[in-house]
Amino acid sequence: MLRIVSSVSRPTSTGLLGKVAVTTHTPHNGRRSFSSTSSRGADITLTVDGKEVTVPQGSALIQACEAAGATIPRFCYHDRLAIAGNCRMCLVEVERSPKPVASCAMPAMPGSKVFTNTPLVHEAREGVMEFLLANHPLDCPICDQGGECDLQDQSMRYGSDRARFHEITGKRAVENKDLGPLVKTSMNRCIQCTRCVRFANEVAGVEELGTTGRGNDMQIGTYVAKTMDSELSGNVVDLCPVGALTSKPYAYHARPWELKNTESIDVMDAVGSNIRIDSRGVEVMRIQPKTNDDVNEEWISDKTRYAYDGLKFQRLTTPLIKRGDRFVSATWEDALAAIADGLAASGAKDDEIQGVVGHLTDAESIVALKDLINRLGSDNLALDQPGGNAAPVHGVEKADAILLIGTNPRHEAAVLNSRIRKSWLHTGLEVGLVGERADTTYGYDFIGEDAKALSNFIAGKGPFVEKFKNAKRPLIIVGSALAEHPDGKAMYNDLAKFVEKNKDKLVTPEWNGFSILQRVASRPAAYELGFPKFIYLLNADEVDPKSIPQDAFVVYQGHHGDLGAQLADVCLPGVAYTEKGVTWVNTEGRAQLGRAAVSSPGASREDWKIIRYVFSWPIYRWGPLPYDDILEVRDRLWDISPTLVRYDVTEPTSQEIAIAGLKTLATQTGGAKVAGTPLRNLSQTSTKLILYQERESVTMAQCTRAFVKGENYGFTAFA
Amino acid sequence: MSFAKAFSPALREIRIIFSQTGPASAGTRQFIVSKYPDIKKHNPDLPVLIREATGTPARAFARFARGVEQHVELENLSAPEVEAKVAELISS
Amino acid sequence: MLSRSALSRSILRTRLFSSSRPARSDALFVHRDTPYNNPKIAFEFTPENLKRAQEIISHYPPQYKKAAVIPLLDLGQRQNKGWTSISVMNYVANLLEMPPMRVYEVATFYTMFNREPIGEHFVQVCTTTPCMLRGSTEILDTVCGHLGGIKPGQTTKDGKFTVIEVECQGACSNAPMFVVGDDFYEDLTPQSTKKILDAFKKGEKPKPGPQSGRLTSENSAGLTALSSKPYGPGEFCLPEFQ
Repeated sequence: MLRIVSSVSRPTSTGLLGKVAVTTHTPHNGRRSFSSTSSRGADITLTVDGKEVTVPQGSALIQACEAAGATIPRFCYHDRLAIAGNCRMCLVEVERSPKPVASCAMPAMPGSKVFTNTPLVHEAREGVMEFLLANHPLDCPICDQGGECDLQDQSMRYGSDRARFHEITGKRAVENKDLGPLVKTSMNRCIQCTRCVRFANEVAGVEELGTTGRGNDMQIGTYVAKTMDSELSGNVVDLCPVGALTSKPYAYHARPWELKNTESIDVMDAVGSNIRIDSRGVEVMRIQPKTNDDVNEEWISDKTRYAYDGLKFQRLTTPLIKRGDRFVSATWEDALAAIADGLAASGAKDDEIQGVVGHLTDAESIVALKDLINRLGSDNLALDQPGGNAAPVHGVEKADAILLIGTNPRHEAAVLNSRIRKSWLHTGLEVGLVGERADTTYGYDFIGEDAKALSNFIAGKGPFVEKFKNAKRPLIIVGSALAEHPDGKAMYNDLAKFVEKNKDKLVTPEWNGFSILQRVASRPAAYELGFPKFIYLLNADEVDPKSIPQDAFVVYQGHHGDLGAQLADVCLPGVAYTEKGVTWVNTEGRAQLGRAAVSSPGASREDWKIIRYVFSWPIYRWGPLPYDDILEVRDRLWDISPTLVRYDVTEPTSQEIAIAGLKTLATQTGGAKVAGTPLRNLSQTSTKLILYQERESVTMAQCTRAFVKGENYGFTAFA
Repeated sequence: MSFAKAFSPALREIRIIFSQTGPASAGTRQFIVSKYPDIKKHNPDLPVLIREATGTPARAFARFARGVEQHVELENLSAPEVEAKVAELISS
Repeated sequence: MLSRSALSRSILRTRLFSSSRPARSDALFVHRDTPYNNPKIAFEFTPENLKRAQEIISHYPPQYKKAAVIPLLDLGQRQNKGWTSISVMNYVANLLEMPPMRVYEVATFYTMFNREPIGEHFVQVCTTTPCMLRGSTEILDTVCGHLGGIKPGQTTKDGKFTVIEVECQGACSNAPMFVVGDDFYEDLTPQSTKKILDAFKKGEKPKPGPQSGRLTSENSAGLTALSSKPYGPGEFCLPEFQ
């Protein structure tokens, strides 16, 4: 469906044609240059290699052949990108057609007879392969893609066995482009399949890659010297069928056959992308995405992909006890004894004992910590967003109007943002934004910057109101910045009342339109008041050092010697997300099971085990926590919420309960005054910083220098 | 026992688990819809966790000081029965 | 094999092969910032050109402003002294609300968008087969020699002339020919070429078209058909119809 754009776009320095008042300002001009059919017609039947196969109407011939079990080689076709049809490798023979047909570009016609194994097809494949290899450099020994290269695999299988290349002039040479510290380019190897160009255009939304020149001189690049400034840029490394675009941090490190693959869940943001951890021995060599149509499709954000090198530096490997102003490594028994002494010495009782849960904490350890803190008599634990349950972000693709409040999903949940963009491109999705103006890779109606703008919107004034009212499945996504904002309470109040008023659209038995986008893999750490005397930091590195009283006894449990460890009196080494098999819950409320890929360094132990044994000293009256192995912990998880042990599914919220909760939210936040400070998405630089923030990772530091600060990031093209 | 009052400080948390659509949890759902706003109004700082999952048996948990937990089964009970059981749980 | 002398053996050792000239494009397909060509240099359409641009854009549907990219780039090139700098490309992208990369793709695809500065007079000599058969090599040599010994592709030192070889311009019946700016100078001989170039050097514009005196591509030996008066109505008819 083609979208006719009526909103005027950004004003140019010269003034635009005609003086149309610019009420909506979107960096993407509301221009969507792609159309696609959205309806599914009847199924059609055709014959492939003598086998009858039925496919939905509108699918390409290549999909029909794959459904029939015939593998078709291809380079430029990718089922999540637009069809290009320029590699010609997918040629098949169709009866009564004078030439072989590019199956990716030909729609499947009912009753057609397709052959994928005839001499004509074989010759076509050999010919195409010969042409592709003609200008392809002999780089296999030094190319990172060796072992997982589509060109290698397909030339072995479908290419001819001898070469006829005797050009004295040699092969074409193309200069390498600098796309940033993450993507290494070796453009001699490029076969101009344009997968990266289509990805950048459609999925990532940065229309900076393109094909300049033509014929033998065609080059893929950004024409001007520009880095690929997208948070999904690492995915082009997966897409590129040859070694033209490879991963710069991973360059020359390993070959694919040496690696052991473990499927797990990513924790760098709250999307919970499914990943495949490739490890060699005890070292994580790289992270690849795993296809999960519901969560992350086939993409992962750059932080997910590249932050693994931080796992090697500054790890806590032994328990540490602070003596004076330095840490001394100790045995587990000594450390646990020191904690017991510290608790007794601090004289903390009940709510003076505080547990703080940071990012990157899994469900099992959170539940263990909660039980522990409760047994010690305290309720002082980091809580969820105000108002109780944080409604999950559900069904982004089914929405037809989205209101974003105080969030920039591009930086907070990059893959979720690409789903919103996909919806925006292919359907009639309208997006409105309250908060800081930013480039989200899709056009949106900018409503305003502060709470006043939100109340205007709710009152029915201003832009986007009509579109939201007419939407059949509106979705409100509230950013986690709201909780930390002085006007947060008032905005929640407004929102709760608004959702209640419109509950027939927003909260129905099939559709829950009110949700909160979490930023971190564990529940966000908001702070309770009180002056804690004994603080247990579980992976909490966002703690403000000023909020910790001088004489408090601090225990830090985590895997990196970061900010939290500095503040601690005792450090207990936990393990990182690649080293434990635990449950992670994403912003949709979907519980997913991660797996341990490598073993943990030194004397570190899994987090829940540490908590289980921290206070199991026989001197304590209240006895140890009631679980001894992971299954018992999961039984406890089931007691707390059955969804935590139901993996890979999301539970829909029931309508009446949601409404009851909203009513409570409204009454609780009633009476809050609006200060009118503009909503900052955690401040613009730090949103991007959050995007690339992993303090121990060298790659992320280079990304911050390159993309956030725009400096020369110190990586040469040959690194 | 009326729920429109502040509970004793020994009660630290209430947790209700039920199924969104199953008929066995209908009573529980009704109870929550009618009583949850009141409970929260009178006990604004008490965590009341509502957790739903398809097909799970309806139960209520109450956590007291020192992490001690009690729970009751609410399967197949009607709303008044649920109310009674929860009241009993809370005052125990 | 036995009677190979040492000399012939050394000849055999040196591998004799012929090589064809590597066919490289003479243009660079990436942009490098230079003092005269960088995005910081401002470019805007003059008010008159802006009006023309609006008129061009109105030819296309309103949601397809990008369809006007080729005519607008050409307009920008003409205003910018015959070459499309990066600023022109960025300006057109801005005007048409397209991402700049799409404009770069168009501008690098077509050879008539000059991405480097050219001289005041752009001499494009056709050297394709029909012209070559009629002596275009000599014309090209004359042009290059007369302009100070430059090679095709180069600009004269005073920046007045740029000479390039181009493909067939479609004036085959008036071969050999060259194009200066938008005008065709056909039926060239070395003398007429020199005359034309001198006229340009002086600042005049010689008359375009065939330089041999004939009208477009008429038969210079005289008409072989249509040499008699065409008959009008009634001629050669039966008396009734006269």
